[in-house]
Amino acid sequence: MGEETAAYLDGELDCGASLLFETHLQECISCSAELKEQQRLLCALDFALSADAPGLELPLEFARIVAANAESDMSGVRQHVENRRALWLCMALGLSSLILLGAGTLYAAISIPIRVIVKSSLSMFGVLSTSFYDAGASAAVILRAVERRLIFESYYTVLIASLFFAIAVTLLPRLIVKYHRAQLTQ
Amino acid sequence: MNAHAVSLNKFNAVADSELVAKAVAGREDSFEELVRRYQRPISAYVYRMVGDYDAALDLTQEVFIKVYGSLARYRSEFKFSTWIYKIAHNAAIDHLRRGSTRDQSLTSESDGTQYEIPLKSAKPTPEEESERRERRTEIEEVVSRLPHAYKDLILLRHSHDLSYDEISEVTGLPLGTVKNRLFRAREIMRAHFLQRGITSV
Repeated sequence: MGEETAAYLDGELDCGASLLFETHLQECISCSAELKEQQRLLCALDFALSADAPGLELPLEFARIVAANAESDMSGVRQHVENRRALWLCMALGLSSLILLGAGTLYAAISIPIRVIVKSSLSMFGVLSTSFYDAGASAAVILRAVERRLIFESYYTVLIASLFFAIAVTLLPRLIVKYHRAQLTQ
Repeated sequence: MNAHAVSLNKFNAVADSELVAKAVAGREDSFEELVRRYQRPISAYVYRMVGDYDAALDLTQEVFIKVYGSLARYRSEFKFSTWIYKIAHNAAIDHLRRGSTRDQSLTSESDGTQYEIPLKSAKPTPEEESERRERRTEIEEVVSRLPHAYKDLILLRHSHDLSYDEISEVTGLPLGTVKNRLFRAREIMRAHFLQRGITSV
């Protein structure tokens, strides 16, 4: 009931509840005594606490100083203009970082394949030149064997053998040069 | 002084929400006027909550900086005073938690019967001070020794005239709790006054 009395005194009861409470007060002596007690306390509290806090004297120009400090405090963006400016700045920063990122990727995308192509074509060239050289060398060896057997047996065989020999002689240096180049590039 | 009076006159009729709108739009004098309007009640509330002059000044400034920082988020359908008290309440409670300050509590929340106040001897009051002044100091002292949870509500109600609804909004407590705690806080004080032999309160 005490809580209701307090709420009544604070003006926090709605009309219906207030009426009911007042009717009850007329009949109940203890509640009306309680009401008086509480009322006295509330008056005392209102009286004591209504004034500014004792001992708290605000410095001169406190409002001006506080306002200036608040306005120069950069921890928050508060004005619409600042908000918009900040938004633009963020967008510009985002865009430039995207561009930089794109450029980086583009560089990687172009340079890496080129390097791969050059590398693979070089190695391909190396393989080809080695195999050509091997082929040439083996042909020369075979030719040597065939030559020994067929030598002087007929005019034609001599002719063919010399032709093969000539081809081998012209082919061999080239193959050797190619092989060395391939080795160098590798 | 004259200029001050003029500036007061200029703003006197302007509603808080209008000043907020102007401050958000970048009018610096509008914010200063808001500070001027609320510096006394806010600093008094904070001072009574934390009980330390320097801390109260710092906290008051902190409250206004926070207010300025979140002005754009303030919605005018709420009362500006309730909003600023809420910020002050949070700042004071944070400060008390940080310092875990001496809570010269009268009682723990759960038991409502033991209202023991570790009393320090009443401040020596100069003889020329009136009885009213003495009474006021006495009540102030009892309030200052209430547990924070009670003191907060008593101050908001009696020093700043907030309604139960507004107190509930400021403190984030349910309405029923506000009602109950206010009643209990007053009971604690009443018991204490009786104990001290002050029956006239």
